[in-house]
Amino acid sequence: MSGFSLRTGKRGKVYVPLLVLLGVLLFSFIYAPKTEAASYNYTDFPMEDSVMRASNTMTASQIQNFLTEKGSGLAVFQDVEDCGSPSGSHYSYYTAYYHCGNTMSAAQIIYDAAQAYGINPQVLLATMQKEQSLITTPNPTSSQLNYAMGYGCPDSGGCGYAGFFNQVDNAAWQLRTDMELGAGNNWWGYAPSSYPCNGATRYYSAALKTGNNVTFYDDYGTGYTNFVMPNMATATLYCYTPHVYPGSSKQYYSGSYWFVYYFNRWFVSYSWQWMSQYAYTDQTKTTPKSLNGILPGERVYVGFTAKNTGNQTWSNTGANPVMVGTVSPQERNSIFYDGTWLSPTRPATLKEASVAPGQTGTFEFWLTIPDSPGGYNERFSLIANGTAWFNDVGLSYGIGVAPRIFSWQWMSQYAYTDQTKTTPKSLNGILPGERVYVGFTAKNTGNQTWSNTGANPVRVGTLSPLERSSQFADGSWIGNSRPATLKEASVAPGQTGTFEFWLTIPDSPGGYNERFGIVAEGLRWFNDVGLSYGIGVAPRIFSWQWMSQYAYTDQTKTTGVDLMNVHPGNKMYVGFTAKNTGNQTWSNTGANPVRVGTTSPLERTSVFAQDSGWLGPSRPATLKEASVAPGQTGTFEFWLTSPSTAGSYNERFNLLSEGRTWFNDLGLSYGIKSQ
Amino acid sequence: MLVFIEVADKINIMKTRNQRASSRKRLIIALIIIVILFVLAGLAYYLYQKKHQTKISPAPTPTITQLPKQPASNNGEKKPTTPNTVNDGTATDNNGQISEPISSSPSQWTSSASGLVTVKKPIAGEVVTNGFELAGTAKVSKLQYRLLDNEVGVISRGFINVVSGNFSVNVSFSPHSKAGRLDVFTTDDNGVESNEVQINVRF
Repeated sequence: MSGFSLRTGKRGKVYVPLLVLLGVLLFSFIYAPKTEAASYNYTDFPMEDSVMRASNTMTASQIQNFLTEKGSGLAVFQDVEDCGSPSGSHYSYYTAYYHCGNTMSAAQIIYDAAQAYGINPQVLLATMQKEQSLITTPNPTSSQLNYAMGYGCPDSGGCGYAGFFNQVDNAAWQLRTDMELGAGNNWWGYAPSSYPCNGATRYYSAALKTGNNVTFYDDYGTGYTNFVMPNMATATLYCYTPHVYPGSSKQYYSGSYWFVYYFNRWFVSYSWQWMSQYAYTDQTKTTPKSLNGILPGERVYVGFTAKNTGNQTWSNTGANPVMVGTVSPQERNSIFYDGTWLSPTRPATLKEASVAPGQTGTFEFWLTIPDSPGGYNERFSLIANGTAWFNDVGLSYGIGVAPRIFSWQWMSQYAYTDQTKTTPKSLNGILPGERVYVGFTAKNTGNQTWSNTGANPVRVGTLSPLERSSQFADGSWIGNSRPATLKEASVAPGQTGTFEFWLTIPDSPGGYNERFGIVAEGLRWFNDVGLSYGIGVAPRIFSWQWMSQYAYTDQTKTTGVDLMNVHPGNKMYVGFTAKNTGNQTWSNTGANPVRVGTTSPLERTSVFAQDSGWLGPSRPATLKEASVAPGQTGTFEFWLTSPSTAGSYNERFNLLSEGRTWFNDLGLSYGIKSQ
Repeated sequence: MLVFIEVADKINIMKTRNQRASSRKRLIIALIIIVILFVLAGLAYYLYQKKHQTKISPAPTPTITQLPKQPASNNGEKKPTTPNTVNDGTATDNNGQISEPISSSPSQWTSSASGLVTVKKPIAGEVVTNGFELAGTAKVSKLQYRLLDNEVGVISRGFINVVSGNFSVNVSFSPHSKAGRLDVFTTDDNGVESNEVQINVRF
């Protein structure tokens, strides 16, 4: 028996910690806090005129059930439907809708008033809640009931119209009256000029009528919101309660905020029914597209139509535009996200400006197929953005993503002297430093279109090993392992693409097998077909043959000088010509210019260098010509200044490719006698 | 042979003793478990009672099912009027920062029947003026309040944030009479009210 367990016959072990845990759970249950969330949209609340006038949205028994469900004290409340004296001018009108003189339930009174004045009973219920919390108060006070609709009880005092029936009857009448008079209609014997919100007041800047731009003011005269009155239903609500939403303390009254809060919560219904759905290659919707076997990176234009089966008109603008949203789970970031989407969870907005109940709306958007192959069931639903999700009808797009195949087949390859591709160039015996323009063509045998732009351009890359830094890299390359990008803008499967680039032959002689492949940059390498360029690099040969040499008094080279009879300090302008018998073109610029250098010994400091303007004490001069190709003759000229010490000199020189190598030594010398 | 039988008897006696001892042991263990369960249940019951005994708000006023008969206004004649509303005041939320002074006597506080909401300011019968502080503690994250005027009904309402178990708002209102009632409560997603605290106040 362990220290923390008790054996109880065959019932096994009962752990003391388990008992403690049970106790903790019990206490937690007792103390567990409950939370609730509030969400609302109070600005620019557009109640449609048709919704305001929809008097048949609820029957009396539905109203009764609604009150009971909300725990309202009104569920058990009743009042007399007092139609006034039978001699009253409207008595006969009342008798058509009310049970005059009879005590009726609150639900029946609300229903009857709605019918009498053609007002949506839901509007009356939300107003009742806005004014007195009567829908949610379990045990309302007589003051709440007496001023159920807040009717005729302005802040300035002097309340009238007390009594539940009086309130409901008069408020329903007032709402419909305001709506009609504000729209320019005669109603109940009153002309449009009788509309009570016909002009500015301390709480708003202009008549509350359709199309008017209205600024609302707080109790201290500060404007706090401004919008264009969208219709008379909305205007009527603000006429009844000229406050839009609550603010900080003592600023402005809560007013219509509560109406919107509860009306939205209880009665606004967004629902839809699936009508059709489709997928096309593009927005023209001419070529249908199967979503099975679709390729990564492809884009598909999909859409669906939806019938509005709710009671709200859908809009694609305003505070709560109707959008497509991702579900399963809601607000899921879709892997089919396309750059045209509003966000990773919102593919599109309703195409039509508005879709009334019973009408059909359209939603269309692009899907970008992700990289990972496999089967997907992409689920969407509708949402009145910022307010509520619609019913989920299970809309989905079943998408089968095929794996990406990048493959190619060798078609041809070539090498030219330059980009004009007029003179073919053998790659055998090619000289160091030369540039060759090579290329090859490749057939796209995969299922992906090659592109030379975008996130994954198709390029040539070095192989053996992969990403090898090539010795043949040229300044025109993208990098030392990336000679070039596909020449064509795009190459579809079955088509042939071209890749061309320069090779710069390296110094080291020998045989090379330069291997290349194709890569979708940043994505993957294609199949290796063994593409290579066999290149034989000949050794660099720098050699020359003496052609002539001379000595003059100066650079004009008009008066010869006898080098065997010069005096200390004499200056002589000497030169020689040399035939290029090697395989390298001589140049007088660049990294390896061809120059004259002192020999015997090499790099000897010459006594004739002083005051001669040499490049250095062992470098008399550079090749005069810009370049001397093999077989051509070059010239080298420079000054010699006879040293101060008399004597006989044999000044020896040779050619060199500076920084690279000395040429063959022909024993070029200037015999000089200074006396 | 006799010796053999005696040995066998002794073994049987020992077995019986062992069995008896084992039964006794089981009985003691079972009793210990029952006692622990009783103690735990008793402790839970005690805490529950203690938690819900104190300062429970008075029973709600019986629901009014019908008001005295009111005559039809103006004998059924109607005239467009505006505004047609009782202006609702609002509240500034102090996000749980309760100001002093506050009654130190728990007997003056009012709690919901569930014990989840306790209002410490104002106390029952207190005279409240525009901007008064409504404060207390709650084991929920959000509350609502409504201030009723005995003549015209709701004159202020709003949401209250509960921060670290405390809540505090300053309530703005314009009274129409000399007395009224302050309701503090929670609501569910359908707006149904619960955990209600009702405090009679004077203006």
